[in-house]
Amino acid sequence: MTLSGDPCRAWEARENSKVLQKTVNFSDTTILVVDDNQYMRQLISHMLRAFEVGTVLHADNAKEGFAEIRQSKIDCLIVDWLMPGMSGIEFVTMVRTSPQSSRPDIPIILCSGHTEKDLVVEARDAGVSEILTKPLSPRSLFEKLDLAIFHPRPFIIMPSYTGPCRRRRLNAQYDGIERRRDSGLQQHDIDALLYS
Amino acid sequence: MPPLTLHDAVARADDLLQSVIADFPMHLETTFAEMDRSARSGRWIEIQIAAHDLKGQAATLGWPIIGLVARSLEAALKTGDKTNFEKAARVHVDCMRLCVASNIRKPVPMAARFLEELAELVARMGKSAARAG
Repeated sequence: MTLSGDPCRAWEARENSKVLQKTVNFSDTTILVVDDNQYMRQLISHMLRAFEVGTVLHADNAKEGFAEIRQSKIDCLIVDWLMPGMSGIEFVTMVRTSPQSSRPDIPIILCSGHTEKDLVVEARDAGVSEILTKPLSPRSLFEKLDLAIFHPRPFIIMPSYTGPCRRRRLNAQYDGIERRRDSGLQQHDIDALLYS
Repeated sequence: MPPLTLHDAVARADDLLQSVIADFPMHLETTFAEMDRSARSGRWIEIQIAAHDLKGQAATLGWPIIGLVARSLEAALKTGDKTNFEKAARVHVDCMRLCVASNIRKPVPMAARFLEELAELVARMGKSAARAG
């Protein structure tokens, strides 16, 4: 069957073509890559340079990464899940909830070879913004960066959870018992809560 | 600086990655040597982390067979059968070396046989660990 004869495939091709023409400008962004593996850091850095990211910083462990966040104005973190000492998940929890954290609301992309549901849920509940599954591809990294930096989900601060809203689908009609009530907080109230 | 399309960004990244891909076999040799040293000193966690890293890198850089063997090594070290850790590390690293030396990148029939044998070893280790309680 030809492409033009299959409406589903033709639609898919059109959508893909639209996505490929989408433009993003990362030149004003600073991204910190936290990974103990030098080779992986190099690999990710090559991709980020190809995307014309303004500044790429590195840390080879969670402690160094945490210090770097305090020192530099960082727009997004790319963190590996499995690191010796503190794991990627523990690091994300520290960034989100530690009183010493200077940027609890920073977008965080977690790199992982694990795609099992319980591990994805664990990452989501720790406050990860996006999960980047291995094997990495330039396209998946580009798309996750675009989502995390330029289309972040609302940031939630609750006693039991701090991080981007875990709901990805908006259903304005939903009026069940789990509907989140509008707190009435404005962005400056949230900033005051985060940075006071 | 003008904005970049996803199409252009991916094409540029693919070009830049060519040098990393070309250097990968050399990086593998260094990693295997480190794994040998860790195995001799019984530093199993280090080997497990190295295997985990290799799993992701190899698949990204066009050596899926290395990723599959690394995945098997990671599984072997998760069985808890410490008496066989050294053997498992040696067999897996030798298998990866052979693949690199022979430029076997994908699970061709010969490599698929290696993988089956490794899977049997991991299964035996799992049973042995379960028996030991």
